Amino acid sequence: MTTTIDRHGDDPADYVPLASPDVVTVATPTRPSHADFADTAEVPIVTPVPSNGVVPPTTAGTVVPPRIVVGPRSDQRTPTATPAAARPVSRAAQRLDVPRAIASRTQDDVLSFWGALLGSGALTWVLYYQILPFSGRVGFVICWFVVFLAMYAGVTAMGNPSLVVVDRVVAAMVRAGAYVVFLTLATAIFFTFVRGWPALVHPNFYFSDMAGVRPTDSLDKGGIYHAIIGSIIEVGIAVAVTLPLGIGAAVYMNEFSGRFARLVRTIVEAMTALPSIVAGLFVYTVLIVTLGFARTGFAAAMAISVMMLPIIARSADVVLRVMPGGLREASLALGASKWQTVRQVVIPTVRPGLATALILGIARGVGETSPVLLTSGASSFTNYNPFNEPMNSLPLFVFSAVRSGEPMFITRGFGAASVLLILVLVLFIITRFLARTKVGSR
Amino acid sequence: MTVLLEKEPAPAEPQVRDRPREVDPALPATDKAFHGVALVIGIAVLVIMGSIGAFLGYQSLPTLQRYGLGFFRESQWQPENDTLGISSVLLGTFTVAIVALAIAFPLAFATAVYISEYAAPKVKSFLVSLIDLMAAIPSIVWGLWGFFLIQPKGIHIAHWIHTHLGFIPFFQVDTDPNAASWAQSRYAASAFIAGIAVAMMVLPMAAAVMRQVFSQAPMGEREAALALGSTKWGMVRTVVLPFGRGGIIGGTMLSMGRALGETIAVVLIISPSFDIKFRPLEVGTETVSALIAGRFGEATSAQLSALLTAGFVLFLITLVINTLAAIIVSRSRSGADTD
Amino acid sequence: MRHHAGRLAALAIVGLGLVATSASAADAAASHAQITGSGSSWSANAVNQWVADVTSSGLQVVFTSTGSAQGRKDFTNKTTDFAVTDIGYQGVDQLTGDADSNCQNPKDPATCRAFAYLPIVAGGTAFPYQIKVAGKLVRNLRLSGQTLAKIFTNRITNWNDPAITSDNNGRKLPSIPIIVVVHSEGSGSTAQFTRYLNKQYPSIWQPFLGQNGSTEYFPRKGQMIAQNGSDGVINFLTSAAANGSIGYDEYSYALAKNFPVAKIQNSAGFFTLPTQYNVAVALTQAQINQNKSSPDYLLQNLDKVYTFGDDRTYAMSSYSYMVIPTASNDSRMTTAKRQTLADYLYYSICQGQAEMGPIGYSPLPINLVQASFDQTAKLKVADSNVDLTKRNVTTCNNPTFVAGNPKANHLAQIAPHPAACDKAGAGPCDGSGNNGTGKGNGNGSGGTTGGTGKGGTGGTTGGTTGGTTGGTTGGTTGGTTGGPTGGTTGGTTGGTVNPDTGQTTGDNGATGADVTGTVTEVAAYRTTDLKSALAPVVALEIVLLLALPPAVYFLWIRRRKVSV
Repeated sequence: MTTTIDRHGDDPADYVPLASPDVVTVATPTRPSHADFADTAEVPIVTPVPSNGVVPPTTAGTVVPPRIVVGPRSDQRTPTATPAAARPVSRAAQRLDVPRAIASRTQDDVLSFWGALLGSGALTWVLYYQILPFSGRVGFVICWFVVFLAMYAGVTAMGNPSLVVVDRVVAAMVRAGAYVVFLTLATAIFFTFVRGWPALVHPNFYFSDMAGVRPTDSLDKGGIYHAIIGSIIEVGIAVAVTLPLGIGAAVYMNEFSGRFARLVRTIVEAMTALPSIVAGLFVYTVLIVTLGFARTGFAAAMAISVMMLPIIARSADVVLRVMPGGLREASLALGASKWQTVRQVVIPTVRPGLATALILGIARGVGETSPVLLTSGASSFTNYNPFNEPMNSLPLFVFSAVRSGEPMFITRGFGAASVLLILVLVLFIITRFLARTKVGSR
Repeated sequence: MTVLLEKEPAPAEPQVRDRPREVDPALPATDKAFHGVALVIGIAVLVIMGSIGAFLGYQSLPTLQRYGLGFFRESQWQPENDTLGISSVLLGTFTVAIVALAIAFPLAFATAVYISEYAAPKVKSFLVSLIDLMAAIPSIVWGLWGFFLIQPKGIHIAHWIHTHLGFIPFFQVDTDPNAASWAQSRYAASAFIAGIAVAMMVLPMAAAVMRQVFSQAPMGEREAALALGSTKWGMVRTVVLPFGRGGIIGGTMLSMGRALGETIAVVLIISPSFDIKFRPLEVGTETVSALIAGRFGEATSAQLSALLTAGFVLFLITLVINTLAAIIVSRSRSGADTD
Repeated sequence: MRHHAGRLAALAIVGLGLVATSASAADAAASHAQITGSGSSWSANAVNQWVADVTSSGLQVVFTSTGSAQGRKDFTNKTTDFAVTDIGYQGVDQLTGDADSNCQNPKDPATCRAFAYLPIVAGGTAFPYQIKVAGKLVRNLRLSGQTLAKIFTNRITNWNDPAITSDNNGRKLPSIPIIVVVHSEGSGSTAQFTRYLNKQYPSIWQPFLGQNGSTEYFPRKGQMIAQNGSDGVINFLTSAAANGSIGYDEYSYALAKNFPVAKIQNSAGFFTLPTQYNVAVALTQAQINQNKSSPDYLLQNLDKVYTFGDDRTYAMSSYSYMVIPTASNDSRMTTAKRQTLADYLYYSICQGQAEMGPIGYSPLPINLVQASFDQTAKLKVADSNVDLTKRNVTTCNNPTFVAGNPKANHLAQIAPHPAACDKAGAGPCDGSGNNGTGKGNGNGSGGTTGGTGKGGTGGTTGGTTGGTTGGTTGGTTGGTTGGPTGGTTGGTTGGTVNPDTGQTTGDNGATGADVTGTVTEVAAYRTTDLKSALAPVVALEIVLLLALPPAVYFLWIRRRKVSV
């Protein structure tokens, strides 16, 4: 350790790449001392180098190309620069004067990563499939990753201090964890679409209902039109109910603060904990069992409303709360009434946020199965009337189709799930679009 | 504010054009109406929400009167024998949630750290919305994913864990793992498989909360750590994580609250059983929400009351967890303001 | 009290701003209206088949298979227009004293919903199982009632149990633990099955249940696995992980998936399948409640079915019922709904019966069809606007009918007798050849299944097994013609037979032709042999071999640097 300590000085810096640009753009104007994190700031730091005169990599002297900062490591550069005898001295001097290479990956980074990856892959393959009595791809990938971590750590430890080893291993683990999550997301979407594809290619899948379709009928018969219609109607009613109530309650909580408003807020926050199935059970008990309503689209919409209302009220409340108080005060100070302030200042300001909150609530309501499972019968007919007869919806259709176990129905279920995903995706893209709208660009 | 405005009108009064409008210290009519409407909506929301809670609580009374604390001690749910209890169901609910968290927490943590610290700045906002999108994916899709894609593989993973870690009671399964043809069905339809699907549902919520708190870590301290020669992980460990501790705990608890109430994926995957056991790898478990989904239809009024009681208990547990989480998260955020 | 609170809360919800069900009366003028029902998953395949059939004639029927218990409950709660259930209302709820139909011992007569039962279809509760030997499904398992009772009470826990071996005439199954799959929901099939156990094997069943009686909720104990609904049970049984499992379900579920079901021993000592013939024969002994004033009018008593001595009997046969509302003041019903229900029922119990055999049910005999007609007439009593003209039992294309003899059941008359190899102590029957020739009356469509599905391998295995261990009649056929071409031979001969109904049913498809050999554990698959014991050592050596040179090199470098 004592001999390798001379590397401590510059090596950790290799592993402190550039801080993210948004960090830099914030930091640069206010804190010049951090300018060395930015590419543009390399020259001022580099220029002192030739003035020392010890290192002659550039003969011209005044302008050093910025590339030198990201150049090869000092110990690789030294032999070309200085005679072998003068090595210790020149190295020490060099270290003092050459700026640390901080911005880019070094050869060591890249090679140790790929080397460890390939080496561990080969080793794991030999051990896992050829020698040890293991099988299965999942196990292989897990073992590969573990062996990779060990090898990566070992390779890094050959030329770096333990801090760097930990840094690299943790970075590898963090990246792997994130990639697993994104991969899982991709898998879920991809899997749904692949399994549902045979149904999705038939136009009748979108434009006809399941009336008269037998379990064994092929996919060119029947579709999910009734479920799409049902979902739209049910969620439409739920939005019509929860939107004014939710946003109204949020406005009330923020504009007329007081003890009562605090009570409302407490209750609303508490009800966000209501599991969706309990919301469904509540509506089932009250509307269907006690009051004797039939299972209809309206009952389902009520269940979705009960589930969505706290979510929308709460997120609208959060959005309104983060609105800068100055705007509101300015409006009031200009003599506007409270109503005018809310209508012309508060709502327009928070509109993108409000829309985002609302649409995410809708996406949740569209996809939730458990409330509709209890309250709307699974009909196979198209029904436009939410007050009469059962009404199917997409999640319920998916659930019952998959449960049936008939291959054709499972495929239809996956097809319906794909449609549901597309619906959520569209809602989501709208959200992103709204969120991107600038506050003042109304 | 209105007081300040009141002082100005006097000198300007003579000029007709410049005369400022009269300010009425009382609320204008529109504001009165506004206040009234807002109040009505507030009351309506309060009544609706409150009545749901009150209704659940009220419906629980007959059940609690009849079974008393035995309702929480009894493990079986056999309405035809007048035996109703939720101890095994509550245990199952927590088993699924704990498995889900054990999987979701490291992944959510890694994702949050990755997005906030490691990801290239260009893709950062894209990744953030990807996590939001993940949160918006319907639970039925995760249910399909878990049932059709994960279950066949999960059986083998569960078997592997049982074979090699079976000496830990938690990983035991009531079968011989080394049999020539090991009993695959003992590993299917388990809390473990259901937990994987639920993990994917709650993961984005935990990741989003954590990421948000991480991103609020003070820039000055980060830069100071780096300037002192810290590695990136050193900086994360010493600056970001201590700052975001509240977010980590709070986000995890919030996702736990969601995991406890998750229904449809669990219903799709598990096989109902009312055993008191803490063996998530083994076939069969039951959660409160799955119990409700499975039994609501054939329930008589008394059983419906029992189901509502179970739902109410679940609601209370979720409420406690969410409240604690909210307190923890808000405390950690309050630290950010001082910076 | 509770209801009051419920109403209050409900009003709050309803008051969320929308007008409620004002539209419900609007459709009354139409001649047909959509009707909704729920209930038994046992008969769901039949009901859904009819639902699909009548859609083309403009009848809209929504049926959800939720289990018999929920079907009856939904009907009582007036959330449905009809229910389908395998057993009648059970009377008083032990928990609350509430009558489960609201009409027996009504606390509040105003809430009573008057109803009538009518049988809609017959069928057999089958026992699908999955036992794989060398990667192939065993398809000809035979079980006696006693063995079945012991399996479903956890007394027999392995497929190599001597009792199972002796049921299969000495053919031993591999050592696989038995996984019993039961229904988790309140299910009519559970009630039928546990009733059979309670009557036939009380000494085995009652200690298990803890009391004398049958139940709709199977008491899951030990390693049993519960699944929700008939579809859930069959999905689990057919899943890849379920090797060694056995469950109970209506025959149609196994048939639709071409999945093997166990042959069950009847009182005559023969092992039979729940084909439409065997079910029809068995149900000739069902005692139907003929007292028209009884609330249980037309419900079944199956005690004599269990013990019927005909060699074709399938003991676990039963009828499934529809519950229809009969009160004239029923708040849910309109003329249009009653008309739809009547037309739907007319189709179901008349034309619809003809297609029951192929999908795994058995058509109703004429006396029950007539009784169902009479029950349907109550809809007209409730509402005189219901049109029931042009209904005639004799015009139904029902395969059970014998012209001029309303008491006879044609299916039962022509039902084929089981092959001799299906008798206890003989067989077991093997191979497609056996199937095709053994049954005098044809019905060898098993050959079709065997021939097309599992042609080559099935044929050869069946042939050799048949030749050596030998069924009595089919052995030679199986051995000689059944060899390389066995599958196709069985297929062609089998498929053309069954002149009576012209159906090419998959009746015996389950026993078609597949592997049945006795395979025991192969020692080489065990993980205890030398190779796997040495493997970790080898792995360790490789790792060391890779890790040592760099380690030594670095130690050497470091020492040199220190010395410098």
